[in-house]
Amino acid sequence: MKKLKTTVLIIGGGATGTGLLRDLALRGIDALLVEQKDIAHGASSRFHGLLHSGARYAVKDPNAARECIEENLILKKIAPTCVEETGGYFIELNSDDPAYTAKWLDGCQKAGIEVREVDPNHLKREYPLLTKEVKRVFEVPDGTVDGFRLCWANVWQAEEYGGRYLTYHQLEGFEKQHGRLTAAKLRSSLTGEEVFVEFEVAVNAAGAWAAEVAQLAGVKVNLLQNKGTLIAFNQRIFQKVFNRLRPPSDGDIWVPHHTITILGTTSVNVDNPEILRPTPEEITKLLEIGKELIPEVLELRMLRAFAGIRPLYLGEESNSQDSRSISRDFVIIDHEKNDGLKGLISLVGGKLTTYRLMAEKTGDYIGKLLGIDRKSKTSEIPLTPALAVEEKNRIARRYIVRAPKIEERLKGVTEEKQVLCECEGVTVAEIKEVARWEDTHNLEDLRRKTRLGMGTCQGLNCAHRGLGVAFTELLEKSQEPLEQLKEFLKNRYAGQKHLLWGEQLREAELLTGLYGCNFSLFGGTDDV
Amino acid sequence: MLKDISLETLNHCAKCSTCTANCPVAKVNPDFPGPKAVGPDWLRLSLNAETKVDYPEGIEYCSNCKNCEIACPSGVPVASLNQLTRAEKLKKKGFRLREKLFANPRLLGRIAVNFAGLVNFFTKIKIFRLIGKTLFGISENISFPAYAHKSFSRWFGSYRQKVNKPKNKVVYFPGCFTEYNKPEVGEALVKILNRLNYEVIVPEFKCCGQPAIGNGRLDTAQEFAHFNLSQLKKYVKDGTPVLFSCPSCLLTFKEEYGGLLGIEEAREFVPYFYEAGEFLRGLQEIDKLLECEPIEGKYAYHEPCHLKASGVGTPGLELLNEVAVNKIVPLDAGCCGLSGSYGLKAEKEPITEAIGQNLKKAIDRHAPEALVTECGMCGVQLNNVSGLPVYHPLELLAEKITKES
Amino acid sequence: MYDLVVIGAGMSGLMAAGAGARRQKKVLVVAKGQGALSLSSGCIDFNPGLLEREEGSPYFKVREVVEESFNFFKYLVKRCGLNYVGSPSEQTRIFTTLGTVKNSCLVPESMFLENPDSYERIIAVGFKGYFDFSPKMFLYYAKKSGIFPGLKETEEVYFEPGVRTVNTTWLAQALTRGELKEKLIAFLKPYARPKTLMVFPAVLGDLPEDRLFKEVEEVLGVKVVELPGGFPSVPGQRLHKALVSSLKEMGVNFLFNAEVIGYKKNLRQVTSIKIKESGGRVREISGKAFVLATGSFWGKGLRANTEEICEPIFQSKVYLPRNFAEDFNFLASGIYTDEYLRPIKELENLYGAGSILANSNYLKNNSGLGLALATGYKAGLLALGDGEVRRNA
Ligand SMILES: Cc1cc2nc3c(=O)[nH]c(=O)nc-3n(C[C@H](O)[C@H](O)[C@H](O)COP(=O)(O)OP(=O)(O)OC[C@H]3O[C@@H](n4cnc5c(N)ncnc54)[C@H](O)[C@@H]3O)c2cc1C
Ligand SMILES: Cc1cc2nc3c(=O)[nH]c(=O)nc-3n(C[C@H](O)[C@H](O)[C@H](O)COP(=O)(O)OP(=O)(O)OC[C@H]3O[C@@H](n4cnc5c(N)ncnc54)[C@H](O)[C@@H]3O)c2cc1C
Ligand code: SF4
Ligand code: SF4
Repeated sequence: MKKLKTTVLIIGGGATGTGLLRDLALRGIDALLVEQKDIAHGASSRFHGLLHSGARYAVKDPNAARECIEENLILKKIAPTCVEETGGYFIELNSDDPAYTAKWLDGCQKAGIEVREVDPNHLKREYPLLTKEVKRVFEVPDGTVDGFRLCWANVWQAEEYGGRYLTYHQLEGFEKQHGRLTAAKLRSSLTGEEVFVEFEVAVNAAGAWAAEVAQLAGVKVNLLQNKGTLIAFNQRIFQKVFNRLRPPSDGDIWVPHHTITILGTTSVNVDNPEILRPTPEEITKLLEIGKELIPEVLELRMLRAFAGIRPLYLGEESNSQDSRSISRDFVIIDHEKNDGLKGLISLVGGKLTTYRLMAEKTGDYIGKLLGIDRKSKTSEIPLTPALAVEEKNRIARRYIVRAPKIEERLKGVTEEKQVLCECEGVTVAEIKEVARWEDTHNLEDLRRKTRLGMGTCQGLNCAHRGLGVAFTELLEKSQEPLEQLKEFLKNRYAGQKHLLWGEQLREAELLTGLYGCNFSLFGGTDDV
Repeated sequence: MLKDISLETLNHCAKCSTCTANCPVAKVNPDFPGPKAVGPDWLRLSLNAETKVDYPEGIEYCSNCKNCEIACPSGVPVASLNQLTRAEKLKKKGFRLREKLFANPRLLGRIAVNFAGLVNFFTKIKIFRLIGKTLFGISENISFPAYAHKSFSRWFGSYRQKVNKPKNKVVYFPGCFTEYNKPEVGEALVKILNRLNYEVIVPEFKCCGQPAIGNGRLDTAQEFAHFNLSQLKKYVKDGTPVLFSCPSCLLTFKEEYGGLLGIEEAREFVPYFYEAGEFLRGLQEIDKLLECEPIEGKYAYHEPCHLKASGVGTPGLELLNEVAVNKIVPLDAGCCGLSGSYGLKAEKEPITEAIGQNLKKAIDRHAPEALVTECGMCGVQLNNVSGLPVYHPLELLAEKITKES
Repeated sequence: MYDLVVIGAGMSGLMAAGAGARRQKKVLVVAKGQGALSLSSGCIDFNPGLLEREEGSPYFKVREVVEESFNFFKYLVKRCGLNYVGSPSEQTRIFTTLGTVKNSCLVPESMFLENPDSYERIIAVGFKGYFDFSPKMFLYYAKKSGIFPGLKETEEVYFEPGVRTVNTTWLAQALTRGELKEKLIAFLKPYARPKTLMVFPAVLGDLPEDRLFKEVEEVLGVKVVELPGGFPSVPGQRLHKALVSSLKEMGVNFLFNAEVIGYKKNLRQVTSIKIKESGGRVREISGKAFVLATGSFWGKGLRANTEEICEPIFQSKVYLPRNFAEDFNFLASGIYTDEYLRPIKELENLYGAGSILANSNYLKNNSGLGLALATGYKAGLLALGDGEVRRNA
């Protein structure tokens, strides 16, 4: 059993956890983050990718709206390579209530969100796919955000300032002494090895799993787990975020995300954070609503459907079940105050857009607990360099502090310049370098860092190539390379299988044919 | 227009690489990454600023032979997409005089036909070819199509069609190659049609536009298309069929006018366009004519890519096989590599030559006495690699079936 | 008027056309695009055990022509210089570029691996700048497979083709051309020793008649094996090309780039099919009998929308497997046919073949091309009214 020591233990490697790790590291507070799977395994990648301008909350939740726009502007400044300043449109259709538009404009103004009305005809010309029912259009400073990139950027910067992290380590339990948590028991999900970590304060940033983590400590966090399903379309249909101008509801946002576009989301309460399966009803609903903006939505090529879980905090005692009306604002629960248990803080709720603010507030709180009075620097120190969204900056934008190693490989005449993942334009150099990294444990991790296999072919051409190119490196990992490939394909199919019609079904057959027949990867004959 | 072709590509391409496997240029040129890479891959990445490069590298090597599109299991208009991208790239880089010259074969043809002997002489002499290469980037080694001494239209103008009581009429589009280089093909068709009691009308036409497309000059092609369609309008309205002896012209009228060039009304003309052999094969009366003296000798047939792309099969071959003593051997060696003016450009020469190797192999294997193909430029290449005489199926047919009995 | 009109130029359609050509019939094949055939590994998977399946399964319906159709197939491809080894009654083991083992019945001669225990050395040949084959990975799994008990040493070597980017399409043709071929052979010479097996990705020549693997074997005195891999699949393309070329030589007519969109019938027969060609022109082609060999979803024989799955040309009844999305069950979808492979009772001269047939889950049954081959051949025979087959059936 391995033994470690830290001042602060952070449980959960989503935006909240990694944001806190960075915040503490920049303050010079010793911290260790543990994550059960890979960084951004939870809602921080299974989300919509919208960097809220706050406009969505302008009517219902002015507080959240104000926080969003403030954080929106900060993130654009400090993390320009994790976000894209696309801008967004709010679109009023002929069938929408004009009274709401008036309220919304008012709300935006109060929250300080800049709004500019746009000629709808201009929009219809630019996007012939759009419905003819467009009545009024407003532009707002929405943006998009890459959850994987943002979380890793946090981790890597924290690392530079002394922060530590362990991925594929699940928290299994706590040690308690005299009403205070003192240590945590972790287990590596790759090797099964146990790790024992002593700490002064533990922070439960386990998102939708926060209730379970709290339970391990013998306390309760009252959460509503709310599933949101999303559909990823093959291409960048729009260059800006498209929102419906009506009271926030299901399926009313289209977010361009790198090469793809994501439509979402639904809102269904579930009773387990592992229930990530989109249902046929949800898909039908999304497409029905999608049709209102793009009448021919079914003609568009889709890639996959996926779901994420929002942990909505119910407060002390609440039986409210209408999840959309619960504020998405976050809470910091000190279990000493609530349950008389020292050494545990739970962080719940919020949005990815406001992750930095959550981290700052939590950092302040922890600082106070530990008696370390240092200010948060997360809004001042740039997280990533300011590089324009251009192809020549692609590597630097994606790999941030680790980019130089890749750029080095790409210098001069080298075969590593060759594109290996043709749908996403990922080069051999990226695959080989990222596969070397200690925090890359398998082909799936490689995918999340590089976008290998995230495009049209969903691994058809690149997964086997990637495995071969990085074979030496992947062989060093704890999982067998061919098993890594199988898991990769399984996960790709897990997203495809909800959309098995039209071209998606043809693609699925192609993948099955290649890996099943040409490579005989799924075992041989079905014995008769 | 661009929107439709792009959207169709994005919505249907499965990234299976079948197109690339069937691209004759990608096979021989390592600098051409193939239709998938310059087409669907590039297009999708170009919509995202972080992965957008202005133009796909190597796209200028595409010859618009359409093999990618024919092979694609998903119905992606990948060749058309690539022509659009290529045209934009060429336009941005600026056209050379060469592209302008090749874009309009009529310009060259009209002069050349008047001085055919002289032009043919020059294009055969090494030193002039070298000058052509240095000044214009025109290949010095590939032999140029020879120009005829009398253009088809001049012949046609003075020819008295022998039709008893003209039962029917057809319009014939001879195309530049027949017009200036091989009027015999048009003559053969007119004579056959006359025997079948069809009167042939040849209105004034411009070039079909395929060379202009191939040289990235879409606006020129559009101009030609509009002119040609306006010339056809009154005939098509009466239901008069329009016949083509050149597969590239046929494909351009049928496919590119309404597709790549985005001329919506062109679609209405399509039902009246026929490949000449296809039209003949469809006539009941042809059967009697086919009971003529058989064609002897050993011929091998080359299927032009643009014929394949037109989706009419190989009617010329089928007709010939009705009359031939020995079945005509299909070479089935794929693209000839010349692809119109493509192969005449110096930087494309090694490509053309390499692609031509397959033809040569196939010809050597079958050792025919002569070759048959519908496309004039394919014929040039066939003759180039084999030294054998090359005929249009109509020529062989006409020789037999128009013989006065 | 054709004796036989075949819709689809995959394995099943081409075999149906072959059956017609063999009997000197006038045959036309209509196809829009290449289907699964040219993307396949080129190995004809078949599962002899399945022939014992119950009546009604496609395997049962072809059991008496399997041997004959496989032989005819071998004859067809051999005409173009492409040799296949094996038989439908026994499976053989080959390796893939990933190092996985594949069981198949008929394999290209260049992939056939006889007596693996006789090799002491394996040289895995890769190409510098070519990323579709990792000699390292292959060797790792080949060693692990236990199929080479006599193995003493392995080596990975990388030939430099000398171009900036190396892709399969270019490589396969380039290696057969004079200079590069000489260079390759000279490069391999030092590794040539007795009891050596040299493995390559399947790029040794792009044409069916290219026999580069044999040349290397003969010059170097080693055993050479090609490994099927990803896309584009050169052996799949060779196979497609060989079949089409042979059939053309046998007088089969082809109509490419034309999509069949409907049909016409009289009382009990299909009289013609409607096709859509380039530019959208629609016309009719008439024939005496028709074979529907349009493949499954990938081939476009079956189409699925959010509501249903249909066979778009004749609207034949389609079998929809339960748990469609699980366990690759969707591959079992397809059209029902009677014992004579006819999908529609009222259309007596229409026959179905290949992966469009219900219950032809090629992955689970490990018999994609094999079943397509046999059903295609049989459909061709039946369509020509071959009495003998009917009696046997
Ligand atoms: C469908 C959907 C769409 C959304 N869209 C947007 C949007 O467009 N814009 C926006 O700003 N916000 C959006 N959100 C909200 C946003 O995704 C979340 O607020 C944010 O990602 C939460 O981050 P987190 O770190 O708190 O949780 P998570 O990202 O879920 O991280 C929790 C982590 O804890 C780990 N963990 C759990 N248990 C253990 C354990 N025992 N041991 C170790 N590790 C453990 C998990 O593996 C997980 O990685 C959306 C949310 C959903 C569900
Ligand atoms: C990627 C992949 C790899 C495979 N690998 C192997 C392997 O290695 N070994 C093996 O044994 N099996 C393999 N299989 C399975 C095997 O390829 C198929 O079962 C088999 O090819 C089916 O043959 P088919 O003739 O029925 O269909 P296909 O080969 O799919 O042919 C269908 C044909 O019909 C045409 N068509 C369809 N609709 C129309 C229309 N409306 N008009 C005109 N034409 C039309 C298509 O264009 C195509 O030419 C693989 C399958 C896939 C998808
Ligand atoms: S053949 Fe068609 S579907 Fe396949 S990659 Fe090319 S364009 Fe895409
Ligand atoms: S048109 Fe011909 S040359 Fe151009 S990409 Fe397609 S196959 Fe290749």
